[in-house]
Amino acid sequence: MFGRIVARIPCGRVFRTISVVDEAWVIGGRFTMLDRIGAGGTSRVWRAYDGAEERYCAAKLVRRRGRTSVLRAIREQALRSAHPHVLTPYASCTAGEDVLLAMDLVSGGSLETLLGDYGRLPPAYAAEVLDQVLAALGHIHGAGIVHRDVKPANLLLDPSPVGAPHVRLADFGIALGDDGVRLTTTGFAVGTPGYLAPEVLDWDRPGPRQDLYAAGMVGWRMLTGAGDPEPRQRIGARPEGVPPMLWTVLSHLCDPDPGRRFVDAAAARRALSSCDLELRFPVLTLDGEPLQIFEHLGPPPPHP
Amino acid sequence: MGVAAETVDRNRALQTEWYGEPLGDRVRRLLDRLGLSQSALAGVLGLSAPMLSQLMSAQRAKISNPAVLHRLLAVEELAAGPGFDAMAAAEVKERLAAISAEQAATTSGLRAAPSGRVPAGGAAPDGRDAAGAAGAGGGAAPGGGVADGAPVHAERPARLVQALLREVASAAEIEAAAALIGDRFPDLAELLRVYGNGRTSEAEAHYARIIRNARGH
Repeated sequence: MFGRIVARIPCGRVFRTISVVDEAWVIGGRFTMLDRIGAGGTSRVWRAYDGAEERYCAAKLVRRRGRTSVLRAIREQALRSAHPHVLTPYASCTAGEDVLLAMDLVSGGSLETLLGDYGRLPPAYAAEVLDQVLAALGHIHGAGIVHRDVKPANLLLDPSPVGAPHVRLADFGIALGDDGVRLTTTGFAVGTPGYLAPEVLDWDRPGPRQDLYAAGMVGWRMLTGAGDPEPRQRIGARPEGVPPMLWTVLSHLCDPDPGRRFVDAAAARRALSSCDLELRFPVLTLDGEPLQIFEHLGPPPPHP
Repeated sequence: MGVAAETVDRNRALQTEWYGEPLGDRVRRLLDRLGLSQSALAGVLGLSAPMLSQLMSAQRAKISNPAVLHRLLAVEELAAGPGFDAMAAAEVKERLAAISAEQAATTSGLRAAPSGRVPAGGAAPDGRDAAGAAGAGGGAAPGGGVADGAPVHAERPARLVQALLREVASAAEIEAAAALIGDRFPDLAELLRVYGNGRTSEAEAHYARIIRNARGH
């Protein structure tokens, strides 16, 4: 079934082979690849069983570009990025032309899924999600990393029958190069235009405040129920039922002039907390239905 | 009767009130007619497979996202249309993809109209090809200045070249390289500077100018 077999791949210092055992696809003698869970056409994320830690994980295959220091770069990045709202690899391994990054399995879908299911979200809910995203951004920015691709599809959620959101910022555009973590040089090949800040569209020179802009656009989607924003989207008039202060926070995040945005994620969080919104459980949608975050993956397929 | 069964009964009654019949019946008929799987239809409607399943089994009563209801109606309209039976599979697929891409008309008034944006329908086919090859972004071409009289497809190739250059070198490196060759190869140096360090609008204008000249316009 998996016909193409890469002969010898280095995993640590030991050379191992990708072996075919009862049609199982095992990478690095450790990760049994079970089913593809990445939604997009380009992402290659699989549910895998990690035989070393005896647990299921998400195994992301990333094309390896440089030859040196790849694993070191990943490890360093993971260490710097450990945070409850950031999804980073806990293990990695080279696999032929790819690097396998093992991460926690997050099975409640993404904020994109949630927006598809419910449309506009209640303001207190949107504020909570936004706060968690900003907490994640504050952390990675503190570590010198710019995400560059903050959007609902990259905000994963844990399942919750009462709708309690726990956001994990995922899918760092891990630009692996010989110079280590080159997170700041990739141009238009990544990113969804509507979430790219004007200064990035014009100059392609990224910075932390572009992530704040993108977070603002995520907030705009939650509060309006609209689809993906256009480039240079104007947030427009405050929708009915959205507290004026929350809308003001959003307008500061989405300001086309980076100099007029919040100075950092922490400042945005402070402004958000002054909106004084309380999220009650179980969460209800705007039309009074229970807001639940479903389990999306189902039971794992059988494996040896 | 158990609580769960009571909930289902209540929800089926509500669905009949809101949608004319329980959603399970309504959606299953559509699946048969279209020959689609439940998860494929969920994808077209823009809702998750578990949510569609909950609605069809009346574990939940209401379609909360108005855009989803809008697309459901559009799919039903397609399936009920007089020409549907004669439609080739590929055309059905295309129509479904178009419905899937539709957004509820709730936000059109909010859309920004970037200056220099080319009216709909003006996109050149090769512009699309470039975007497809890049696999980048998708959807609407990013706004931004397009040079006067420039063909619309100047936007994407220029951005691709920018992205490519900026992938392999930093701004300082590009500037140094341009300085190095500037005396002997001024055009090449300009190219590096425009695409490597210039504004996107400059790159697009440069691309449009060069291509237009090359074609003898």
